[in-house]
Amino acid sequence: MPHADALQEFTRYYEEHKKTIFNYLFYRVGFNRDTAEDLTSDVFLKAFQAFDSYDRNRSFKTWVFTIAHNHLVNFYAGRKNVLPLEEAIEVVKEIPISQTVEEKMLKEKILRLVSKLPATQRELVILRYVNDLSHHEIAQIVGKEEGAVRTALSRAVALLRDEYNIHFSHPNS
Amino acid sequence: MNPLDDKQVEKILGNLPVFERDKKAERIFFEKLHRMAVETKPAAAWFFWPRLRLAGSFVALFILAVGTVWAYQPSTTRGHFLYPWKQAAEKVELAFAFTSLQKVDAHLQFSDRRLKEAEYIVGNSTGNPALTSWLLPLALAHEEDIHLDSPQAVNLALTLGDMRSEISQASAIVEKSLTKTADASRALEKIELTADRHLEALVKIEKKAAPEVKKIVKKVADEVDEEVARVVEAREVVSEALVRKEENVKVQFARREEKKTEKKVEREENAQQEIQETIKLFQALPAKDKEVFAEKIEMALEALEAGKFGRAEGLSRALQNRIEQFPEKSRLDEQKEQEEKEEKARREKSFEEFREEKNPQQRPEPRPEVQPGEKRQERFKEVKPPEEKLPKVEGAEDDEDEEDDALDEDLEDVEDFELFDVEEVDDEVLKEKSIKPHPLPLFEPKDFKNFDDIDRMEKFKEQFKP
Repeated sequence: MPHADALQEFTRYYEEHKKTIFNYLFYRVGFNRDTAEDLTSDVFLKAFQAFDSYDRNRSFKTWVFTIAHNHLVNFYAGRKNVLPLEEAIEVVKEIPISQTVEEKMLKEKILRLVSKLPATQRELVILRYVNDLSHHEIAQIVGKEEGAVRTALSRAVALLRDEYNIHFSHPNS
Repeated sequence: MNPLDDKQVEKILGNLPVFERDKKAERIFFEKLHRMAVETKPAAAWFFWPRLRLAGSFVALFILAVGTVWAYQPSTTRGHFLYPWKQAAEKVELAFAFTSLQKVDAHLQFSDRRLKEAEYIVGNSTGNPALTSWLLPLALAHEEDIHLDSPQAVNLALTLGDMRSEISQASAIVEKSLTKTADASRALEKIELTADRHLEALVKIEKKAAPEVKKIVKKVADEVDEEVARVVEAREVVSEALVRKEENVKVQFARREEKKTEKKVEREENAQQEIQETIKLFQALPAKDKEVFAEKIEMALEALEAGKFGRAEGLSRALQNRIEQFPEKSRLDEQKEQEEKEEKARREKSFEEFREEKNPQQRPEPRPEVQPGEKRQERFKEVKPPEEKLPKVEGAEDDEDEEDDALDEDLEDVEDFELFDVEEVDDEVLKEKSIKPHPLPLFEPKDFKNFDDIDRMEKFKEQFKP
């Protein structure tokens, strides 16, 4: 494919999936915007470099998420995944004001709990609920069986529930 | 807060916020992407560049072919984005016309295309508004009596002008480059046919055209008609050269500027004037010479009646030129006849001198003029040989009687043949005797039976020596 046409096609894919990839990385790096922006750019540049070998029969979404996942793994080597509380609060402030304060507080708590999940479960939760990927797509990205992904997600949700109920809920409120 | 179940947790998870990228970060990303795209080269392959060039040339040829076919549509008129392509393709066509005849054909083809474009413009009421902005002042500067106030009018005026220009260019090539009579004749015939065809088409266009563009069409039609007149006149000259079997000819189109008057004359009126002048010259010719030109004058009159004013004018002018030159030709013919007569007289004189030298004594005395009905014997009494007996020859006494009889027979024969010039034989005499005059002097040895007779005859001749 001529080089100019490839660039044009890739640009279309970028526009379609940039938000998804950014949010995936944003949630995974503890809501560090600068890091997330850099990582997002790196992921798409890597994808463009490998665009000639991209199999058009495969979903671009899963393909670029795989690249993002692998890049994140490399990024995590030698770094700690800590969600600073202040940044989490900052994130909460970006939630639309149409929501009630109670809802905002609820989300804030869930976000804190998500950040404390193990990395694997955290990734699955973000891919499933933030990026709205199917179990099959998640399985392709992380390289696991679909059943295993379902099971892990169930466990993650159950863990969040238990943690929320333990730390934030009062049976009589 | 109440405790949550799994579904509630999932619901909350599904409503977690989603964020947009920063614009500045995105701009930086695109800069990197562009830099990467420029720096990235295709992967090396076996003969990649030669294959790429070959593929590119085929693609270029294909685009050129398709583009040219598209550009050659009649709808591609001045102002159309493909019109420059059309003009460039026509330049290439002209470059590949190597001979003058081919160049003439190319220009005539271009004029056909301009005509089709003009028909399209009139039929579709099109005109590129962009044309009006810069062409209108130019067009108005040239067209003093025609008001061009619409894109269609401007487009049509320019297109028809181009059409006429192509025909003129074809004529110019014939005038400058074609010297062979056959080639010039062929080229002029094609130009005349093309111009005639265009005239007919312009008449139809004029009927369909809007009022404001009718004048333009009429003006161009008149100009094409003038061109036809010039071509027809030149064709007549070339036709004469063909009849005379001349290999080369110089084609020269008449320049009619000196005959222009301030008042513009209609084409029909102009043609009628030319024909009248021709007829005047024709009537001044001697009766015997009129036959030569009568047919051509009829052709000119027929063209006038058919509305082909250019052809009528051209034929008339050609005839005028020929008639004016005709007396000169007649004088030359007379001169030629005179020379032939003198040559004939000289030949006759030479023959007479020859005969005088050969047999001077046998020359007959001048014969009296023949009177009608006069018998030959009476006329030639004086030259009749003497009736007395021939002198005796020694050694011939025994056969004298036989010899005399034989000689008498011979002399009788002699009466039938006389020593005179063949051409002086009277026809009536020949008819009377049914005798063909003997071309040679009589008494040739071969006419006699034996040598003795020859000797005797020689001796007989001696009697008549002075």
